Amino acid sequence: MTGIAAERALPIIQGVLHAVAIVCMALVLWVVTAPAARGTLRLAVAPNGSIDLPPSVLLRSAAETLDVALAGVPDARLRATLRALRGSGHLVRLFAPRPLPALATAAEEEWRATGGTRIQLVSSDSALASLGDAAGLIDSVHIAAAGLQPRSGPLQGALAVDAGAVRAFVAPLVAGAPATARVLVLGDATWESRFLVASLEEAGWPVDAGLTLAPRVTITQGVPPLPSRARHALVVILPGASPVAVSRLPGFVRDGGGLVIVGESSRIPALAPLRAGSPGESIAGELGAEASAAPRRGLDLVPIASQAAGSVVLERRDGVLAVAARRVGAGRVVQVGYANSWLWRMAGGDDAPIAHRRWWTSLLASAVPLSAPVSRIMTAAESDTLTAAPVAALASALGLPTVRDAGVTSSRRDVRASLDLRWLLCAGLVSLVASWVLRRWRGLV
Amino acid sequence: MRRAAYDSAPMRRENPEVAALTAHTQRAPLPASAAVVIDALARYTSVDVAPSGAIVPLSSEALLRYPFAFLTGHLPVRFTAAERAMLRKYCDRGGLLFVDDHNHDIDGVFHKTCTEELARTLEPLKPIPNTHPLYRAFFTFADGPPTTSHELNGWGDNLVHDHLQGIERNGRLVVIYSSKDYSSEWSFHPENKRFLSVDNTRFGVNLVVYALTR
Repeated sequence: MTGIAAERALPIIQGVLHAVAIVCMALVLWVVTAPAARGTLRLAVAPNGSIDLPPSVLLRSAAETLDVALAGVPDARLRATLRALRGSGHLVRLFAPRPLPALATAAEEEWRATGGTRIQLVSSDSALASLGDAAGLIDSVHIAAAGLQPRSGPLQGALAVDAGAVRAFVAPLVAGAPATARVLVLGDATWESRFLVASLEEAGWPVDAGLTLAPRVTITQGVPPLPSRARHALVVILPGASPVAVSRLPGFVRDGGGLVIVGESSRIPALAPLRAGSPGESIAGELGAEASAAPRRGLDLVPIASQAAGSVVLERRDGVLAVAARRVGAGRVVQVGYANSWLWRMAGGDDAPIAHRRWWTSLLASAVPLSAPVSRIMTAAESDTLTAAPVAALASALGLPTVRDAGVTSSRRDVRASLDLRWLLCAGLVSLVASWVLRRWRGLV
Repeated sequence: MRRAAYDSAPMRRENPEVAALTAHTQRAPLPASAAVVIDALARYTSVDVAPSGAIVPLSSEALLRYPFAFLTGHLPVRFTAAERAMLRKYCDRGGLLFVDDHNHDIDGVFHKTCTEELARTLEPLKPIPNTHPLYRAFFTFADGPPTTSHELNGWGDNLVHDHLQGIERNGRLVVIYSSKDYSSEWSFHPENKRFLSVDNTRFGVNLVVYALTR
């Protein structure tokens, strides 16, 4: 009786195995050959900040939505990839399946003539943290959930952040330095040119200058004052720059040079194709405000009335655009509306010379042509409960796209992405072998 | 005429302006000195100058709005604590103070007290070599600072001073001290320059251009 039942069951089992093998092979063929489905792709960011997919593959993904599960802080390359995907229309959502470190830190070298480090700190709770490196204590800062971005000089080894029970060590991300970093300042000899050159030199920038004093008298510093990519990384244009020098700027920028257009010089017609926006009517600064907590309110402003396509706003004052930037060819252009920043340095508060120097340095740094950053970000910290706010702050501080619906996964699943080719092949092969064994057992050839 | 051009130019705060100072022990300085220097700047350069200078107290925060300042006098100088603090701040931030002894007398009270005060506030004055870039900043003065009629006439200390003196910060002059009495030499109406064979205010252009470009 049992033998008869087995004889009846074996063909059925064999058929099932055949069917399983065929389905597995079909799925393998479908995964390999069928066009990608537009659904949701789930990514898991490992504690060391990496994912198991190369960013180049991720960039080719056709998924409409990317759910990114954070077990650590994504590294710089992944952040840039996610930002690019979001910019191209993908919905990128972040969530933390497990508590993230209570203290997130990142450090990257900032291009300054004397070197420097931009540090980014986010904590789940407000905390007093001390920053240090191998050479000793650097500073102590209050970290809030909204994050903090202090700056320091060059680090000796890794950055150590000590926030009581939480400690983190960060190896600084190394920015690729430009091949040449001389700055050329062109324009009339004014207090603005004099104090701008002084600030840049104090910050360590090597400066060439061509400052017009009379129709046939130009004070030069360095080589003859014409922009050259072989010598200059940046050109700062002030009102009164010579037409010959200005005529060379389009080529200079398209070849990868940086250009900073200051104040009234944005009205120079030859700079129209390069500027970040057309200048509006000048606005006088608020008398005495240069010594206030918002010192640039005291400066005269040539506002950017209408933005050029592709430009980004770097600073607004009272709702009008004060500083904007754009890419032109391989170069970058920063348009600064403030016309008399020297007044801030001379008549500002106690830290005005330093603040003025840092402000100009950061503007110039954003226009310096750099190679891509290299190295990585590491985080190491004790775990703690992390609410959605620090995730958002972390994302904001570290340059990730804004978190939307954190913790919510998509209802649409990308079936293709969830299928594993290795398991499908294994299942298909096992089914075929089992089917062959059954046939031999039944005495069939 | 450049004169017409600068008279009609709107006053803008980024323009070079000349401030004449009053320390609390001095009377208001000669306003004509600032006027002829401004006139010389407008005659010889395309620098967009404001049409008039300003007279500000040494202790005032307003001093910081004038990166080039001119202090002269003939009475004993005693700075207050506020004046000392402001002068230090002014020099630290990049201002240039030109001090001129209106007595043109190194044995006079202004010279003795002012040099003491500058030494107490900043540091002792040192002679400026006659090869200094100051003397080539715009016009070339191969022999150093130009002489004044008061020196040549034997007034004051009866000396022709070979050098100016100064105080440097980071390789840049922040104080220039003169015993030559340029304030008397330049104390005339700019229109009267037409009676001069050589404009004696040209050195004033060098002073301002040095402040503008160094």
